[in-house]
Amino acid sequence: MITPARMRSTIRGGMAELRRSMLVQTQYRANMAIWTVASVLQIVVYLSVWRAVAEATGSTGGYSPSTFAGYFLVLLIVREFTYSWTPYMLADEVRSGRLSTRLMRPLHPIVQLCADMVAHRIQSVTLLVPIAVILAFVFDASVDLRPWALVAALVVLPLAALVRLLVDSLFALCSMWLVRIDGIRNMYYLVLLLLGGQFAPIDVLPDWLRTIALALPFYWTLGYPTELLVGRASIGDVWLGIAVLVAWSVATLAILQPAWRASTRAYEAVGT
Amino acid sequence: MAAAPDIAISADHASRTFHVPVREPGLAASLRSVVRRRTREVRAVEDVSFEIARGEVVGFLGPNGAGKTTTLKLLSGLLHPSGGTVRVLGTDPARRDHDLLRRISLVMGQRQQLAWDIPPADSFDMLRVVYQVERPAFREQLDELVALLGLEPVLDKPVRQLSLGERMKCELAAALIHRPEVLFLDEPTLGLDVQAQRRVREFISTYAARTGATVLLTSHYMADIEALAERVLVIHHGRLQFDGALKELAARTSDRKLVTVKFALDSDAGRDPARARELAATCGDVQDVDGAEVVVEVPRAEVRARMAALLDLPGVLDFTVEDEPIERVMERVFEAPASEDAATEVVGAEA
Repeated sequence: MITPARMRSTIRGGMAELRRSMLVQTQYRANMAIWTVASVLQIVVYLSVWRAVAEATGSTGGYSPSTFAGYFLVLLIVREFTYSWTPYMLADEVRSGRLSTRLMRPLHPIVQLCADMVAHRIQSVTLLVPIAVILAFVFDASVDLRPWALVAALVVLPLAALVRLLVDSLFALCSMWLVRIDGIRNMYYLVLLLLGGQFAPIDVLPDWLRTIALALPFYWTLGYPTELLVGRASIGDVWLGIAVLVAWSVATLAILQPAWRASTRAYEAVGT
Repeated sequence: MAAAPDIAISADHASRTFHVPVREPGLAASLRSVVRRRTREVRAVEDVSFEIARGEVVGFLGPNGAGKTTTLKLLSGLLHPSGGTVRVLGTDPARRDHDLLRRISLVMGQRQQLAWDIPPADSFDMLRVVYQVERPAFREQLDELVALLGLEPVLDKPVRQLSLGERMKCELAAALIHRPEVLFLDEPTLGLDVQAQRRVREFISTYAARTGATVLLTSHYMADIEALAERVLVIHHGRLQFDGALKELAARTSDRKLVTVKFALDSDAGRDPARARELAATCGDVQDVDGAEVVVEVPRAEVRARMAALLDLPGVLDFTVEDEPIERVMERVFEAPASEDAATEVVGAEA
């Protein structure tokens, strides 16, 4: 049960882990630069492909070449903000036995993973925002950013990051049973790529695929905040989005607690 | 079983079983295992019961794969028992209650308490917050650990640049920042040179004496166990074989004594090692000859009679009688077949 004292100690512990993670990550500037370039290149490839499609047809799924550019450059920032590497990190910790060390501390191991992600995000978003602005000029990007959408994003983005973290964590727990989850993890990221709005805005997908995307959490953590910031969401959509994200948070949290207990019971502390 | 208040650690018929995949070597067997997976039930720990009082330092002995580490993982809550119960400070450790975690610590080989890329001082400070140690208490504890382990020169170096011995000492310090009441140590001197081993041993001994901590320690180095623990638990094939004083273990499991006979240098035997061997052999099995000194093994029950015979040998100057070295005693224990070999059993196939 989460008591106020437990909450306070978790926040303090999380801040201490965040500080440690920031210290660690500043040691690897080259790694951060390579990560940034890889992120940008991936998005530029999607952007270029869909711009070419829109230039050939005039408009695709309601997107012109400029609004496609706007969508993908905002997606670059949103993806970085909501990205979670829990399936990689937790599986690695299980396989190497490092999870045992984390489990012996009076702090939930997920808190440490969160701290690592936040530390990485602070640096990567700081690097990516100016790059996205420059690319916006290069690709003649068009974004209809409304002040109320910016305010709504202050709520939507943390919620989206939370849902992504919870869903990924739930998935990552498979590693407690299977130890190696590389195969399923690749499948998971393919689904995320297609139905999350990363490969393309979901408006360009066939209706049946779009329906599936709306029923799953991925679009709401990636495509939806992007559409909000490029001006493709109404105020009604904001409320709907927040309601969906809250619902996913509650649902995944409810499943995550017993799933975590069952997983740690299955955990065999290999590698130690 | 409700543990008494002065009992820090207890195991009551604790067992732990693993299901591990098995297959024959080779590509064909590998492909077959994709569609037909066979598992084997490994009973790593079976029906183990013991109690350790607060403040006791207990050695945990057993050959590789005997179940020592599994037992430590059960006691520290990393593993749930398949059967029986374990309690640490009156709590089920598998619940991972944060109050309990703040009172215990587990050191396993060179586990990563420390972040690899930053100096140990930064990791210690992070652990201070995680374990909710007040700054003055932290300062005091850290100063003591730094002094005892000689950490001053390495506090500001990134961990990746430290030697194995330096890292191990820092890991020990990290595990003790919160002054745990119960300390599980799994091979704390593994891979260290002799000098570093001695320093770590001295440190553990001093820490336990100063804080009254309960320590359960596994080590392959008998010197560790002899220096630190009066009581030992011996586990073999997952079952507890012995629980008692180290000396009692030697007396109970070894029916022999070692007698070192010293011949006078001006005697025949003192001048000729072959003659010394020949003479000493009349009193027992010769184990070693070193110049004028011969070590013979004699049955424990016949020590008196053999001594009388020894004294009658020409040129005998002196002799000493000792128990077998503990390493030899342990070899005997571990060579003996388990009463019921229940370590592994194939339980069938699953698709």
